[in-house]
Amino acid sequence: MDYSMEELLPLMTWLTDKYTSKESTSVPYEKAQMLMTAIMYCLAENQAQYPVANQGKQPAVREMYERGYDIVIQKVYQAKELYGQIMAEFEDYGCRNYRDTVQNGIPAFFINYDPRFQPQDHLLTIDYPLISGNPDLCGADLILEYLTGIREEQLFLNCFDRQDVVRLLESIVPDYQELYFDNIADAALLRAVECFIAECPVRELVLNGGAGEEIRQYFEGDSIQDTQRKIVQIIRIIMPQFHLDGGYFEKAGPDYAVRLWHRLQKHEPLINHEDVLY
Amino acid sequence: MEKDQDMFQLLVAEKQKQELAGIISCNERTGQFGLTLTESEAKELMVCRNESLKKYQRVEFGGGILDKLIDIFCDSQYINQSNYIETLEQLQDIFYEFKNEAQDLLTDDELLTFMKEQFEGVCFGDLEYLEGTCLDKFAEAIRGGYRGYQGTGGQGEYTSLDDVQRWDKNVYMEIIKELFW
Repeated sequence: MDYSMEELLPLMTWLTDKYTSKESTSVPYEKAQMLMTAIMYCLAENQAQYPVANQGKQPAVREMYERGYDIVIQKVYQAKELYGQIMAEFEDYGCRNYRDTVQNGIPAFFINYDPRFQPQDHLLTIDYPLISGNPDLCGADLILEYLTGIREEQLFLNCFDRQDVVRLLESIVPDYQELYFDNIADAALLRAVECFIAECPVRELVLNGGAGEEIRQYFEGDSIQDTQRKIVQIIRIIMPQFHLDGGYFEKAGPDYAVRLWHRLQKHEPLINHEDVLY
Repeated sequence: MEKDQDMFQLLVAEKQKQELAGIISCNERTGQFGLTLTESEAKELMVCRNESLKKYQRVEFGGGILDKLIDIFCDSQYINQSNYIETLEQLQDIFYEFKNEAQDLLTDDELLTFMKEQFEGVCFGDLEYLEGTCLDKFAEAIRGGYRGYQGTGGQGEYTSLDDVQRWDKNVYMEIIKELFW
């Protein structure tokens, strides 16, 4: 939805007055840009929740802004509640990047987030990625979406014994505590898929000696699309066993398919020797 | 970036409509000091103000700073009708410059109070000294973490910053001797 400058100007003037506490009649370009982005962010929140009806009178821009602002506040509260659930049973598996981002980093958002003047700024770099990459969002939207993903992944990882996850991470990067910057659930899910194909116990995340060959045969002659379809199907089968909805984790399917397919094409080993128990 | 520029141009244009009348109405107050602005002079001031805003990359909302500037400086002993508009043009340019130089930590009132006090006192109406020395030192102190002005509203701030020796007894005595001995 487009808003005219005539509609936005009084809102911009009001927000600038609020920002400067009416103690400055002018602001630098960067601050004006920041405040205009804040207005557009709240208007977009309102529009996302209350799509424009085809008929009927449109509310005033100020009203739409205030509704959007309230939505932002609600999202922060939702994120805070979610974060409380995550931290109640948080396990970092010794991974520093995961701990620094989720346990040490996220509280700064709740302390310093400014929904009135900078709702678009989530203040964090969010170095620990979600299984399918971080969402292309900003502000409270990003943090809520990110924590929702972290919670899903936490519930998934909780289904495994801590030592099994640690052993898996060590097999990928021996000094994983300091040097593992990928997603932990990503490694566990891929291994779970491999275990399923090789008919190994999925909950133990351990492959047997012939697993590599079994996986190769399973995808033999498949295109990337076929590989992806098979992987997504396996994720759909596995997840109910963990009492989880596979929808979130299916997003990892395309990436797994590309990784596996290229390794198959190049005749590279599909699994490391270190992570196989004979 | 181009879109941003358009946005700011529109914001500026909208505001100008209301402002002219506000500046002209200042004549009622400044008339008692023998200072008045014609409509064309007021427009000229607004043009200069917009140039200053552009120069210092700032956006102004509401009534703007001009009427406040006029209100504060109209009783200056160093401003008369012949230098009125020129002085106002320079003062507003200096004002925006030092809003930036002080990193927006000064409120409008604090900055204007400081400017007026030095203009009348230390500078004896010299705008170059106001800009290049007094405000320069003040802004430098603020950037360095000085916040004393928050308690004083900008009044009496320059005393502690002024490192120029204004009275030299030896020089005075030498001159006296030259003149009378």
